[in-house]
Amino acid sequence: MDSGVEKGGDNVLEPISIDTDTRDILAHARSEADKKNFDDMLIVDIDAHHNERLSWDTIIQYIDDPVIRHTATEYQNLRPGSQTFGLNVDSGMRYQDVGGRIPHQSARREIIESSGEPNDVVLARRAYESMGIDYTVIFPTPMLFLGIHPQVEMEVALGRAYNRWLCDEILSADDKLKAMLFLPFNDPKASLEFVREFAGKKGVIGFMVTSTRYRKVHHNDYMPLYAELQERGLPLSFHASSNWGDRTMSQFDRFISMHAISFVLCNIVHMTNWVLSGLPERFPNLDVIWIESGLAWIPFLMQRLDNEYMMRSSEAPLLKRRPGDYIREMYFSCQPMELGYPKAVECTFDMINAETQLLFASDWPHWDFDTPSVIYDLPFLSEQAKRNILGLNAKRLFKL
Amino acid sequence: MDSGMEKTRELPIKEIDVYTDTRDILAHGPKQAKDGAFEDYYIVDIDSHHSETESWADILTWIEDPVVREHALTTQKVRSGNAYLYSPGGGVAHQDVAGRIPHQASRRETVEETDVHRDTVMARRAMDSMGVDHTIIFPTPLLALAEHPQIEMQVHLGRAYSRWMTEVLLPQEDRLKALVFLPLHDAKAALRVVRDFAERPGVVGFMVTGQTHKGVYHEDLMPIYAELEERGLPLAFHAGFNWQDTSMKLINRFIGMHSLSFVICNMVHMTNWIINGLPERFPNLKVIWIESGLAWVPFMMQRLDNEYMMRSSEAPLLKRKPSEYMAEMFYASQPLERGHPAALEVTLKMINAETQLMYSSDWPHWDFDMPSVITDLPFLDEQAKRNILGKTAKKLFNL
Repeated sequence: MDSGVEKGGDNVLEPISIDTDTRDILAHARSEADKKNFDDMLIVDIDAHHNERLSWDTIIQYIDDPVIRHTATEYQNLRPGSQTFGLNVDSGMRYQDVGGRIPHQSARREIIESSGEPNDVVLARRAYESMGIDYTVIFPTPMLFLGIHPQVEMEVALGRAYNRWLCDEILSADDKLKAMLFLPFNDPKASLEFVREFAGKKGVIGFMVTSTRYRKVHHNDYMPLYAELQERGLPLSFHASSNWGDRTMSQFDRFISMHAISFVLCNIVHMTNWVLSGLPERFPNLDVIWIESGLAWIPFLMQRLDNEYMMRSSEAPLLKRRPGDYIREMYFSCQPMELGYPKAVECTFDMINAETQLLFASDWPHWDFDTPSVIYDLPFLSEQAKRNILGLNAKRLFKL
Repeated sequence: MDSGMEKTRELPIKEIDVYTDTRDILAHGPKQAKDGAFEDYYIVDIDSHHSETESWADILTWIEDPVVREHALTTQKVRSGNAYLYSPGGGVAHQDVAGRIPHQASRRETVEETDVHRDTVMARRAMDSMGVDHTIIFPTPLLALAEHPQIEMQVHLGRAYSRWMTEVLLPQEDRLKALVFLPLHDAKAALRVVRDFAERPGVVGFMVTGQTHKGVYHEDLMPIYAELEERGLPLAFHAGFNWQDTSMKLINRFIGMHSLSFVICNMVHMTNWIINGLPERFPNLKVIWIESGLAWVPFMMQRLDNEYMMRSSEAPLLKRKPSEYMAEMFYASQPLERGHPAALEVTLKMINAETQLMYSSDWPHWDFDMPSVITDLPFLDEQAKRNILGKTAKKLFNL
């Protein structure tokens, strides 16, 4: 008997596993890039990740202090299977891959034929070529949690080792890879030293604070750091991450809940302090970028802070305009784009001056990554606005 | 030489201080009512406050446990201030901007009437000035009670306050209603509170203070939600602040902490409520979110939907997107963030304001809103305004 249902075709779905080649995972991105002529556009991905854990044995050899270096080396040698030395990420509760349902997130073990190039360069190139990207700003992954490492000196030692390794072995090997280098923000003096040591190195286009930390960004100890960055014309970015152990976050029982809020809350707090303490007035030429909190939080915060400010402006005496006016002059990365409400997205773009302030970011290879189509497909943007967001704003900001 | 400009004139401005009569502070209210033509509106203010501190010595006599009561009354007698009232925000509460918002600091106006409680008189004065028909009255420092380190005190003091409220204040004035404090950290006691107070006159639902550090999805709490649903009584989450929280401690000004802390508490409870499928488990339980403003709601709708669409297996009870459940909840309007009209219009659409939004004043707190915040909105039609100002609340609370 004919069921009336057509028989299934011969389309065999290629199962993705941790061994799948980046180019296969991103096959659709490549065909979209061809269809939309992304190769004719300048596209800058201001936030993609590599996993520094895979190179950790090498990176720890860049640690200055011989005792810490020795400790790290022995730790790596003697404790197979345990956590990587010094990386304090809560690896036992990382459900990004939804129990293996987002397979490429768990690990990336694709075959790389030895070419003499570092694996991270090969992997990054496969990704940026698949997506039609011209420049990629590369970020670490577990190091995003170093800001809550209980030993501040470890943040400094590991941060410096990583930065040196990144400059020596990765940024020097591929002109298309750029970085905003890790700042050991819990140590303001060391942060300033980092800027002086690394600014000007090939591929270094700014500096980055990992947002998960409990330091006040308005503390006077940081003013020399901000002054130095402003002087050198280098942007400062705040890269979001999460902390399930935070008192507020510990009320959540699911990863999705914690991730939805924690990745935003850290930047909400730093932004509030940044604006209300008048840092945009103190450092009017310092460019600030907010990364990986999505966009939906910004209209919330603009409305909320403006409303409170208009009722009690004496608490933010350095401000000459409303908080929202300063926020509109900052830069934002778009990922993860919350696309469920087109009207709200349009309103958000308008409020943040997306045409000049928004920067495309993929967050590749993380579970919720976006491809350039996420901007290109927006119906309300002009062609020029799309080009700006996908690449021209970043080109201007980072002088690429 | 004539500059062409008019000479400045002195206008008599009345100075407001802590002794000023409510009706003088709200003198613009009746004028707005006539000008804005909301004089003939039925208005319910679903969140207004009184200060229980002034009646604290009386309230303590309503504590049921004789030992705790004796301890409380003695402490109150021998120490200055309200020693038995847990008020962690006390010394860092800058709501009145060092006296620049004078009526916030305290309310020492003269009340000559003696037939009813002073709070009843002041509530009437406020209602009449704002053209409000019914007011749901909330405590003030008691909103921090769920942070009391002794959970049994949350029960003792919460019950004492609710007994005083329902036996002293509410019987004096039909226009006053209350949402009774639920000591959520003790699930059994909270259920007993529902059973003991649900049928008292003037009780229109129950309230959890936002600064409750307990996952609202905990199985222990299900009998409470079931009981409320069964009785058709709404559950409200009233926001509060906690400057001691790890993240909030990073902020060095009251304005920053207040901007965030009053919202984050409800963001957490909302997320837990939705992701754990409570709207599916209690489809007829009405939930209200109070005093976090509105700008957070579109943020949360977009954020939760986006994550849910990528990993729905973590919220297996949901049959629809998180925002669809959120659009069926109820929201109090205050403080209405009005600086970005286009954003506000999008917000009101997203939350189905016409049926889900309810006016609240938060009077007499520093950032209170008059009913004109709703009548002045240019993009609402007449029916929507009437719903938001009173009709939605009338239906929800069976007024």
